Formats: sequence, structure tokens, C-alpha cells
Amino acid sequence: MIVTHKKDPGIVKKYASDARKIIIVGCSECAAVCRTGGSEQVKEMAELFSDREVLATISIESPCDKRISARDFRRIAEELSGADALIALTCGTGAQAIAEVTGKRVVAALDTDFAGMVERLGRFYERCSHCGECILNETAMLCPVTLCPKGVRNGPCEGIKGTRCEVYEDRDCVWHTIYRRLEDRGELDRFTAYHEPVDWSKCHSPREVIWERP
Amino acid sequence: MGAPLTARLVYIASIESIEFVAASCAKVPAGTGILLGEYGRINPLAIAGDIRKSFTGPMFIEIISKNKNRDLVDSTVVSSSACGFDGAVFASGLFNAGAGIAKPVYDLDPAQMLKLALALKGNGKIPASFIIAIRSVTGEGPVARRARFYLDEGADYIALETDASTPFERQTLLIEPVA
Ligand code: SF4
Ligand code: SF4
Repeated sequence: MIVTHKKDPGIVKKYASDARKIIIVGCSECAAVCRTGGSEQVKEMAELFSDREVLATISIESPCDKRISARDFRRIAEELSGADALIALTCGTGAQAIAEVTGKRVVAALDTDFAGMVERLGRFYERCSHCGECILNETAMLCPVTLCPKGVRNGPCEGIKGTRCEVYEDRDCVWHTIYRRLEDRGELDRFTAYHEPVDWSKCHSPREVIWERP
Repeated sequence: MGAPLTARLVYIASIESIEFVAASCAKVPAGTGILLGEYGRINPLAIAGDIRKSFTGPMFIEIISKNKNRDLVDSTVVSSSACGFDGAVFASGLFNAGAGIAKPVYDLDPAQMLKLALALKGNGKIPASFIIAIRSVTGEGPVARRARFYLDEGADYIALETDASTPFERQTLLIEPVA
């Protein structure tokens, strides 16, 4: 799930300062779970813009999916044609998808943080940094690229303090935890399996996946 | 393995003036080396030539991976050798040093730095005598395993803070902070 947080309302209004007619766009998937783009937040945003003409509010299931966005915007085609700006309570990908689908000016109302694991509402944890060369099978399903602040792929580093991390002393070093898990599983030989540096030539932004047609 | 030049290194973590380093080197006892760190504004490479004129003991540079991508690690290792350092101590580098809001770059970890340096030896970019040590800490379990890995893979030494106990006594350099 993509974790987002709200931008300062003043900043959102600043970027929409010359828009008189607006549409508020929420996301009923990730941003709804984060309580940054659900129906409640769409309502709040409409109130924030009560000094303008809010032509429509809409919650899209996955605004990052252009097919779904295009389908849902067709339902409010008339309002869309008259809008000066859309206020996107979505992640950055969603905001850009909306802009591409509608051709309208879009104001991003959220900041995008990371792809997170949801433990429960309000508890979101980053567990993968999308390095493109996954080593989880050798690290007992703990990602050192993400859980180690230095992203050390062959750890621990020299900063480890007992079992604790150099950077966050209230947390165990992930390499300590990896070691313990591998030990419990009788797989300690994996601990020193050497992990090459990531080949970033494969990870240059923007990354794309394009399926070949059979 | 490179010749065992010394077992102790006096560590100057951050260099802010050449005079301070020269004065500190003058007090280093015979048989003890120096280790110049990269945390200060002055890079050890910039003063190596000056220090070499008066200091005849073993001279090491601490090369941290922090804020370097692999290309810069590569050139720093080669430059260290070219500038007269006898060897390098590799470390990931303190995460919280500095202002703390810059994007932290840790392109390589110490194990990967070791492999890079060994490849440089292999292709003659640095001499075989250039000593390679990796910073470690005293500990069991994951720490001991990783230290063993460094030595098995070709590091000449592990480097520990002074008076740490180590199972790799003959392959350990002890680092003592400059007085
Ligand atoms: S190693 Fe970590 S960052 Fe890389 S793909 Fe696997 S989980 Fe993601
Ligand atoms: S102590 Fe462990 S988790 Fe912390 S920075 Fe070092 S290797 Fe990473």
C-alpha cells in the first residue's frame, strides 16, 4: 500500500489560488486506508474550498490506474469540462494519472512516503525499497536494504552496539535479527552468502514494465 | 597478506587543520601507525604528501562508504595508494555525522568495498602490498561471523577500537583515538 500524508492546507490552497471551479478527487484504496484521501478527507477538502465552487467530489477506486480513472471521470464529464482544477487526494502516481487522463490542471494535496505494510490502521511500515534484486530468500524474509538505515546488504556494519543498531539504538540491528532467525532455522550458512552491490543500471528512473504481446 | 607493519593506529577521525595532524603525528610512538579519517573538512588525500615528509611510520586512511558511490570508493582507494598511504581501513561510516539532512549514500557496504579493493589489487591498479583492513567491533554471533568472512575473503586485518578483545589477534589492528 502507498503511504501518504496530507500537505499543509495553506499550501494546497496556494496552488489552487486562481481556480474558481474545482473538483475534489479522493482515492478509496491506499489514501483511504491512510485517512488522507478517503470520503471523510474529501469532505474536509470540500469545506476548505467552500469559498470556491466545488463542481463535484469523486472517490476513485485506484486513481493510479488510468483505466479506472478514465472510466470514473466519464461519469462526471460535464463537471469535468467546466473545472479549472482538480484537487488530488492521492499519491503522486495517482495525481499524475489523473492529470494525464483528464488533461486538467491538478493540485497534489498529499505527499507520498513509501510502499508500506499495514499492521493495523495507523501502523504502516516500510519493508521494501524496490531495489530490483531481492535477497529475501537469503535473509530470512527480512529486508536489510530497507530495515538497515544504511541499506547494508552484507551486515552487520561496524556501528552495531551489542545487538542494537548504530542509528536507532532502541531497535535491534536487522542483521542481528537475520542471524537469530537463520540460526533458529538451521540455515546459518546463508548468513555470509555474499550479496553483490545492486546493479543500478537496471534501476534508473523512470522504470517501466511493458509486456510483449504473444 | 601485506606485511604486518603495526598493530596500533592512532586515529584522527576528522581533519580540520594540517598543523594539528602534523603535531599529532610527531607524538606517535615508534612502531605505531596513524589512521586519518574522512569526517573533517580536509580530506586525508590532500595532506598525505605533507605528512609523509615528516612521519615515517605506517600511514593509513579510513575510507568510509558513506556519501560515496562505488566509483568514488574506487578512485579513493587508488588515490590513497598513489598518495603514499600504506593501507586503508574500510568502514560504512557514521550515519549521524554531519548535518543529517543530506541524502545518505551507502552504495557499497564494507564487504563490497573489500571485494572492490581486491579486484584493484588483482588488476594492478594498487600494489599487492597495499594493506586492507575492515572496521569491526568485538562481539559474537553476527559480528564474529562477519569478521571471519572479511578475513577469509582476503582482508589483511580487521580493525577494532583499542583494547577490544578479539579472536583474530594476529590479524587485528587496534585503533586508539588521538589524545
Ligand atoms: S531486497 Fe529488499 S528492497 Fe530489494 S526487492 Fe527485496 S525486499 Fe525489496
Ligand atoms: S547496526 Fe545494523 S541495522 Fe544499524 S546501520 Fe549497522 S548494519 Fe544497519
